[in-house]
Amino acid sequence: MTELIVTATAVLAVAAVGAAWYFRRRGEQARRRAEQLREHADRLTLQLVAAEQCVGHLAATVIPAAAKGGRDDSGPAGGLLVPAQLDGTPLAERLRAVPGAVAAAVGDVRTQERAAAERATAHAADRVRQDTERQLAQVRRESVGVARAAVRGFANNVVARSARLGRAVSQGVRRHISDEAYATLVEIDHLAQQMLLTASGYSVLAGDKLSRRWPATTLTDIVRAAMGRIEGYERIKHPEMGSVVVEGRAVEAVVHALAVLLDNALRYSPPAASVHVSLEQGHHACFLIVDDAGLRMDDERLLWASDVMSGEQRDDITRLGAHPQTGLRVASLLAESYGFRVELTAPNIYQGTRAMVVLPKNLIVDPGSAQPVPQAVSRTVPPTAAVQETDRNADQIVARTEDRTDEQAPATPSGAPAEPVAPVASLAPAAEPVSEPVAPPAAAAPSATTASGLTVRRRSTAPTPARRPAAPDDTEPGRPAVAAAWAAGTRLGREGEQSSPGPADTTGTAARTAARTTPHDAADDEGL
Amino acid sequence: MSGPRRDPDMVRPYVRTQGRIRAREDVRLESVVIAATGPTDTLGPDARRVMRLFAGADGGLAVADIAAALELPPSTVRILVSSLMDSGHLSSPVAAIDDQPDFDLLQEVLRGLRSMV
Repeated sequence: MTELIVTATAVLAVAAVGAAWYFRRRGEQARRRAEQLREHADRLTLQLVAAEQCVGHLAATVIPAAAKGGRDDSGPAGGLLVPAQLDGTPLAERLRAVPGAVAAAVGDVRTQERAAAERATAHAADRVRQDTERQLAQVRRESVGVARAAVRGFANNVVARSARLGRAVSQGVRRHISDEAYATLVEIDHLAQQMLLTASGYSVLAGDKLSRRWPATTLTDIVRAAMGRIEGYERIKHPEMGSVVVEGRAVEAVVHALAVLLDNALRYSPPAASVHVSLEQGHHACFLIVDDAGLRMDDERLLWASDVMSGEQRDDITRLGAHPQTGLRVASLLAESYGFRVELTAPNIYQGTRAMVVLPKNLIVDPGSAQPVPQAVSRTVPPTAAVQETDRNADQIVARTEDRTDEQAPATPSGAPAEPVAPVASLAPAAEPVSEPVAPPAAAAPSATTASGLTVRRRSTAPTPARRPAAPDDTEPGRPAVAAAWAAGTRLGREGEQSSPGPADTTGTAARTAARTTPHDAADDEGL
Repeated sequence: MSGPRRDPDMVRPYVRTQGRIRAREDVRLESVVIAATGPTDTLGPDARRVMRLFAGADGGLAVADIAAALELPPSTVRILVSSLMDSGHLSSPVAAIDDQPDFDLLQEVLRGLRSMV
């Protein structure tokens, strides 16, 4: 029993020991495992904390820095210090990749944004520029319009007044006989004519047509009319050019352009040098040539001149510059609108500059075709006086036609003088120089009148002493009263019973018409 | 509108006289001048017109008549005639003393004329 008991006890004891060892071992295992777990948990906790800090850092510093574009100031990790606890973990790798990715994303976004912004800016700028340009153009148009209107108003006013002044002077030199009055009037007139030239130039630049109209005129008179409008005309030498007659509508334009060219020639040549005008008749055109002996226009200036003369902006009065040089612009504008040409070349035979007005044939009236018309008019004229009388009749017809032109001119201010000009054009060449065929010597019989109908004052025969109070030495020379009495006397004698006008104010006209014998006189006087 | 509509002088008087503004003292409106023979090629256009008037005239022309014929201002013609006299193309006839009418006769004529007017 006891053995059994002992055996049982031993077995029990062994079992107990075994159990104890087993449990102990298990307990150790569990403890070890628990420790491992705790360690792991601790490490994870640490890692978590580190990761939190890292992410915090990432969020607080690195990403804003990357967003700000400060990518370059740190390494590839973008300034992110990955804690040692995280070394070797995938998290660390990911975290390290974050700043780069953020920076790349930021960079991308930024590039896109920049591109978009640039596009938008360019678009906006474009629109703004277009707007601005449009507004600028409009403002420019308006300012040109305003400037033009101002210049036009001013210039037209001056043109009108100085033209009237010129007419008043023309009347004055006919009315006043005294030398002093004449000298003063002529001086005033010269200034008024220069004013007229300047002012008409500006009115042309402002877009107006020339307002003054003339009948068809010979080149001689065109050159002399141009000379009257400039300073220093005495230095201009010109031949007789009566064979070329310019159509009425172009006369004033040619006179103006020529005056400008002559003025240039005089200005740029030495004060003692002459300026030569000459005429070359080509097949298709007449060339009116102005040669000066001055400084040759250098190539640069010639280029400038041709630029001015062909430039699109030549009539823009807001671009004349501080020292406006209007002459050539005006000449070229006139040439264009009236159908002739102006050219400048250098050097000429005098080593100076040559200016040329090219008048095409359609601006030239054939003087030959004009002859028959005035002859048809001379019906009541005695044969001996036929030739010269014809010319005078032509004068009168021209004068009357001019008036007609003038009356119509206001109705059609800028245009179409074609209708009234036509008859003038055909008649006028007979005006002055075409009386070239001097009265035939056959008519030189000892008649009481010349071929042109003037009373010949003959000393030896002296049939009527009363008609010849020639040079009474006790009278003051040129005294208006004497002239008036003279004129009134002749007039009375010629017109018979017609009432005598007051001597004082009609001296000029009376003297002028004194030798007239045809009944056209009265009409002609009204035409003045 | 006052005054004439068109300026009668397209060519201004001072251009016609080539800048001369004074006539000779002895050239007056009532002066009679006679033409000398000679070439007129060197003359200006207006001087030539003046000379042309003398064609066929065997005597003198009064300055006022020349002015009327050419429709030029009398003063301008006085200057033109003065220049032509200076250049020898025109001259004033020198009357012998006994060739002139008697002063009393002239006075008589003047009185007669006044009574007519």
